[in-house]
Amino acid sequence: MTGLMRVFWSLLIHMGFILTATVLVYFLGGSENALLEAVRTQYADDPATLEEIRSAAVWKIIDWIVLSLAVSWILSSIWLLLAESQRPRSYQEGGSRRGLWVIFLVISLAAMTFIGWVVIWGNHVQGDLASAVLTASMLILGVSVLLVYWVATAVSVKTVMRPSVPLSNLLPGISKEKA
Amino acid sequence: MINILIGVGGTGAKVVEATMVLLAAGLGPKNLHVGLVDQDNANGNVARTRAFISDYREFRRSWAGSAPDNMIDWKGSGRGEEGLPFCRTEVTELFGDTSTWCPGGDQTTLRNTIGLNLTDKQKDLFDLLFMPGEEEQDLTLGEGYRGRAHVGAAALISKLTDPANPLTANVTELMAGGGSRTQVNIFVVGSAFGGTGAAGFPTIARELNRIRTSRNFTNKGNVAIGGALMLPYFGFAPPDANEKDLVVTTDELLPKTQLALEHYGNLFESEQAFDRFYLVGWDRFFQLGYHQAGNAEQVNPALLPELFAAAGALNFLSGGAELLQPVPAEERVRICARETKHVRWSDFPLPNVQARLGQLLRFATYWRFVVGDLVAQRRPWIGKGNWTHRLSGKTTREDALPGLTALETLLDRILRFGAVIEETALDDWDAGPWRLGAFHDPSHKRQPTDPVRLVRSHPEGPALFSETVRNDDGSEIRRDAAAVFNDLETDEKLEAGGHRGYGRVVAAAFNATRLS
Repeated sequence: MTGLMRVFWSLLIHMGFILTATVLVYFLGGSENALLEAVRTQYADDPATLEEIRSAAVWKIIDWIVLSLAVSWILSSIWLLLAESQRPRSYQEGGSRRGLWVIFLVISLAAMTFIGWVVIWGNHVQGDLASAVLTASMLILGVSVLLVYWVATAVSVKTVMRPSVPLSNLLPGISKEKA
Repeated sequence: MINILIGVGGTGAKVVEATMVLLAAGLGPKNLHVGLVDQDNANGNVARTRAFISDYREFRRSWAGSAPDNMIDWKGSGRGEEGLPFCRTEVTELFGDTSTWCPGGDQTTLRNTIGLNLTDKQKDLFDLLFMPGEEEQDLTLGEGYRGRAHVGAAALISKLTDPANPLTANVTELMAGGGSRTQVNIFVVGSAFGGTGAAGFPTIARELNRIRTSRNFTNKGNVAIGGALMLPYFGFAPPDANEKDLVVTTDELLPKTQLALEHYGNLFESEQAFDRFYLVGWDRFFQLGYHQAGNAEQVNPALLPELFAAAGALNFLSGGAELLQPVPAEERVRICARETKHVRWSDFPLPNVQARLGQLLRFATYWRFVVGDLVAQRRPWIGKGNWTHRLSGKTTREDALPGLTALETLLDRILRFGAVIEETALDDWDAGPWRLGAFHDPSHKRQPTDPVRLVRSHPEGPALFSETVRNDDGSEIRRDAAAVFNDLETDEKLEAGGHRGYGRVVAAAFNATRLS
């Protein structure tokens, strides 16, 4: 399996997570109750505006999800390609890219935070959405970024480099092939 | 087909030791009966070979199915699937429960053997042929024949004439082929110099030839006899003054060899004892730098010519029906010589030596310095653990411990043999077929009888493994430790076959360490 195939597998896994997180957020923010009490009171007699505000806020969160997971995919792809170029002779050497894996994970979490600051706080979405919905969305996204990066790298990386991904032996691998 | 290998004397035993290494590499026939004949039963060389044979057999016994959860499949399914080549030859000790026959006992002398109860005329003849006193007639034979081949030959013949002696009895039974018309290949190896080998080699071969040509022999025409005669290839330091007259010195080796070769020349003209005959010599002498007359102290390091002779033995034993065909007298003696100054794989008179012996040395190195640690690791609470845990399944290391211990003991012997060969070869080796120097124990003080010790573990094991075996052009094997590790993690065909438990681990590691 080539490095590009691994990148493609990582893309599929990220798309699966994007879809799942989007559906969750979509249903989470699917009613007027997802908006702040003050907003609902202000536009109580204008359901169309309320729906417009709700829809815009939810889509901003979905943007946040898509962008954050896109960054995760890019970072995981870079890491997978770097790992692909390694020829470890032992489990110790197979774990030699764990440090980089952690750094990329931290970067993807930092990127998620930065994107959230720009997309959500920059557009004052927190002033429209109920705090419970926003907190739940942040949790979903945070967990998704952590999980998708771990799953995508653990599953897609070539077998001998799996020790670089913590707890990767809990997941199946996609490749059983010669280097 | 029945195959028999008989090593006569200390040098013969050392050739058998080298043959055991080649058998472990998978270069031998499916079965082999191995026997050592030495008057010096406590001889260190013989004892070492006997221990090697014992360890080899113990390894096979441990993995042959006595512990059904951990076994190695040496037979294969027969559907194109071959068994594991490593130690595939079933080795049987020629003399029942032992591989060694000491013809005369420890304290015997020639006088006790054939010099008692003689008539006056017989006694005169005895005195005429053999010097009185400790030089010959009363020489204690418990430490071998000490270079007096005529003394040894007389003593040995007297023992061989007893039909109940273990050698004649067991070999005659095997030569009969179990009542069916089965081909039997017998290979005898010994030295042309020294005592026991020089006396026993032609004597035993002639006795075997006598049996196969006797009128009542039922398996006539199906017994092939081959032999390898070791010409002088090593020298001792001068012996002590009080031993000077009782042992062979280096200066005496060549004249004695010349006499021996003249004897063989005459023998071949009158009696075709051998169907194939191999002579092994060396340009220079390997100087051992010490002298031991015999007994347990005589533990000579393994030397290159013995490995060549072993390859010759397996060259013969791997032969089929063509061995039974008469060959012109001028082709009966095989002569080969190295074309290069330094030893290379292609010099060995046997196909696949590089592939098989190279793989064995790589496997031994990889097991000792990489796999052993993985096997010893605890299985994780969650997940499948390393590849040895995955392959061994539910079997625990404790269940397989006897077999794993037998394996490590055998691999220790093989690695030590390879390291000593490399170390003692000196100028003949330069960029030779393998390189184990990186694993030498630097704290070991080099001794002539114990030139090398290997470390138990090495932090750079996987890296050094890649440099263990070389091609003849000096290049390293391309299939390096990274490729081996990758295959062990990903290639499920490595453990294919009927192996079980840790037998799958052994099979996978052996197959993964192949050269290409």
